[in-house]
Amino acid sequence: MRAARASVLALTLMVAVGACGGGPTPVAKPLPTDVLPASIEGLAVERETSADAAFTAAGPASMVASGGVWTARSEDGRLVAALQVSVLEPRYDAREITVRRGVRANIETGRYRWQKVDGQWVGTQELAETRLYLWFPPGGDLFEVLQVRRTAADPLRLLSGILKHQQEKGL
Amino acid sequence: MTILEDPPSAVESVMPEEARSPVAEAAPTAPVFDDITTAAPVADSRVLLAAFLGSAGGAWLVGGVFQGILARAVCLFAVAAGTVAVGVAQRSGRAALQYFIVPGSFVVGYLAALLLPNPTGTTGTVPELVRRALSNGGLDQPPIPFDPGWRFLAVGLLTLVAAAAASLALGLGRPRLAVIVPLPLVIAAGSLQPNGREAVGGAVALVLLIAGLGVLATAELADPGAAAGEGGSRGFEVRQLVRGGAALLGVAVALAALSQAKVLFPVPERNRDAKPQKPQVVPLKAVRDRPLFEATSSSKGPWRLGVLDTYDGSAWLLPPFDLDRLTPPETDGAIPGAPPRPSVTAQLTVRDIDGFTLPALPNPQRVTSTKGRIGYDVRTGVLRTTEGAPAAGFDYTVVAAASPTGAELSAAPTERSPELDAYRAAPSPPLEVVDLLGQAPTNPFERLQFLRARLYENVVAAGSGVPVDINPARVVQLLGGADGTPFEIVASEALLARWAGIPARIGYGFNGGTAISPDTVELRPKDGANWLEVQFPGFGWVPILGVPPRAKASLSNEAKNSTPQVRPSDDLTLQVYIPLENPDPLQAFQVVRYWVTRALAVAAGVAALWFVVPFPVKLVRRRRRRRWAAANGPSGRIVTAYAELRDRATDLGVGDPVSTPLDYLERVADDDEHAELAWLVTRGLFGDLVRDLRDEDATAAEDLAASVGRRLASAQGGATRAAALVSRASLREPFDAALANPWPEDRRLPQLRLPHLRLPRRGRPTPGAAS
Repeated sequence: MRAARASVLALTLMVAVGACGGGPTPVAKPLPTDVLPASIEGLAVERETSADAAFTAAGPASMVASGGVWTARSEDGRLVAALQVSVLEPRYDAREITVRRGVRANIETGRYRWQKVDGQWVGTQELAETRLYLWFPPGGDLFEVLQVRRTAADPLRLLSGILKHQQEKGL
Repeated sequence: MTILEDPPSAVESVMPEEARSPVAEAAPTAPVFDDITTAAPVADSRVLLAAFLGSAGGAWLVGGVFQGILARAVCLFAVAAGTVAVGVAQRSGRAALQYFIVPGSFVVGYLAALLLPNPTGTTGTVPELVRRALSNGGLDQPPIPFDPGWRFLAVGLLTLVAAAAASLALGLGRPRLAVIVPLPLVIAAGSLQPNGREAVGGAVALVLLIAGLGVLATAELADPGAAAGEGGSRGFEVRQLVRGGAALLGVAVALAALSQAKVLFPVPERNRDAKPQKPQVVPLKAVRDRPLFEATSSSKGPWRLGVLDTYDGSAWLLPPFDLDRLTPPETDGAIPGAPPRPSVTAQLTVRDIDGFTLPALPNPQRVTSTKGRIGYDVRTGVLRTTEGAPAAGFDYTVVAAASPTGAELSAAPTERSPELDAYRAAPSPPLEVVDLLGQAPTNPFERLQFLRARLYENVVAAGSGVPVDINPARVVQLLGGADGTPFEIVASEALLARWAGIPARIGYGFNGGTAISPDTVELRPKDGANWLEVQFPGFGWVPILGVPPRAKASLSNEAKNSTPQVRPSDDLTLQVYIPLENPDPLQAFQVVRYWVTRALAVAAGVAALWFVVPFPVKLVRRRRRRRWAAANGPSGRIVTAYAELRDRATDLGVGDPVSTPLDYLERVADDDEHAELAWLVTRGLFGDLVRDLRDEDATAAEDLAASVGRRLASAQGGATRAAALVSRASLREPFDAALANPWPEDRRLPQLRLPHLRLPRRGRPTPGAAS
């Protein structure tokens, strides 16, 4: 009888203690890997793992949970473009305008010219050495930055190729 | 001086002659200023002259900062203009006219900037001219060209200083302010005098200052009362002046001697300019991108601006600045000492370049078609304008020695000129360099190329070309394959050349550029470059330009010089953008600043309201009193008119609320109308006219009170009149408390007692509540 009472008590406590906690802690989505094909517009694509440390070193104030940088180089090894894919911390949803504003304001001048490329709104900054494209994929958990040298032949075509590839992959 | 100006003839008394006579007889004839001070009055003209002389001392020194006698003449003219303007305003009796001196000084400055000779053709709006003058700099290395921007600043400043000195001296009745006000300017300008001209410039300024004081002193001596004990004769004045002049001469000589001995003053800071200086470089990203100049030539440059030709063991330094090194070209533009070689011609047009240096090809042989005079710096080999900064559109033609080929340099004579030993000075070479020198050929040019090739084989260019310190150990690192900035690479080349026994230095200026036509390139700040310059007999200083074959790839958006010969290395510079959350975009100080700003604004508004509230209250009071006067017949009108006058006097600081009308006559200067009014009030309210007071008498009293009040006010300074408008004096202590006075008597309002602005006029003491 005592054993039965103890079991009931223990079960009650377990239920009560378990009920005291919140829901499961939200976890950021993993960084997508297939963001670029092996080559695009004649440029060789390579993942720059040396840039990963920058995402983890940003500290607790960072809005980014993880990220990666892919580079596209010409045949002679010349760097032509770099794509940065960033996964937002789960508490941020890029579908909210305040979050998008926060991200936009943090990148270079913060002033963009917006255009729709393959159904995706893309903001463009014309910088001294590069063209910078920023967009928020539909899921609300990512933002991507593409930097292309101003000397690149057709940056919009490169951008379009990237977007099409990602749309095919469901990003 | 009286505190009442002469009565206007338009106001005529209606008092009968028999009633007026006693007034005139009874009116006090003695001086009425009980509080008269011992200061003797000084004529306005003397104060103005003193202000001119005192300010002229400053003008002389300010003009000395600039090149040419024109600067001093313009500065002296500005001082005269400011002084005369105050004199005219003072003589017209409208002190407010002095306020027009401020915009007037701008107009005069603008005219000086635009109308005076402008050899280099500088044009633009006043802000542009001033900005250009300031950005060209040179104040620490006087004398500098008297550019239009400086003309505007100098003329405007000196006009205002002279006007301020004259105006304050006259307005405050303190003549010595005429000399004291310009004194800070004299001191400041005195510290900027060119080397070797301090003593003369300072002595002239001193003479002018003391002459200004002398003008005031002789005026005081000339005053009969003051001079009575001294004889008061003109001979006495002359003797004093002669003695003072002799003493002044002695002081000037002593100052000149002491300045040479460097006992009196510390050695000026700018003497550092006599030593090589570290270059002060503005980062390229901080420079506004714009076309600096255009060059049309078959030569591709480089376009030189200067050199770093001294190595102190850790850094390459600019040569000391010395205008005496500038040699004017000959009449046909030929530059003495240029290497006699085949020439190449370049047509250059300045667009927007700061400073006085003209970009030019190396080893110029002739320069023509310039505006204004130029000089050639025999040490650095650069051209420099000497009559002003080159303006947009300033064009000139440079004929320079053609660049030698490698074969020519290899065949150059190998004699070692001792004159160039300073350009071979370097610390002992490190062992690694000694090894390289052992492997190098003996021919100087081939030796140099061998060393440069070893450097370029390994070094990776990275970063911007901002000059930094570089020591022999760093050269070894670069030889070993370390990353190096373009400047470090060039500096290493120069050190390697010196270690090889070749006179070497670093040239800087522009290279490359953007082609805007087949033979014309446009140079911008991003085309800035530095390069090795080596001296070979018969060829002069030859620029050796090279680019390292490898550089770090970068997507950085900082402006940089693109060189197609440079290939990317395996290293990579990427920019990663990581937005950071800012949960509270407002910092605490921002919140505090917001509320403090608003609180201050409210406080300022309240204070301003509190300050001006007497003015509307007095308007209300006047209206109520007049209403009461209208209802109380002639006596009421007379009481009101006189009370208004006395209250006005109280607000002007010359009142005495407790004196009777006749007593008050003794407190102020003689004035027939005032005496007439006082007697009219006394007789009309207390004397024989009480029973026969008519409206004509009341009207006369009102006219007299208005006339006296007007002149009483106009005799005071502008500041006093302005203060009287908002003065609380008559509200707190009205002449007649029985009349309307809408002001709280219990003084619950805070009593901030404003100082009474008893500003004497024309050197006479202010009449006030005399004891």
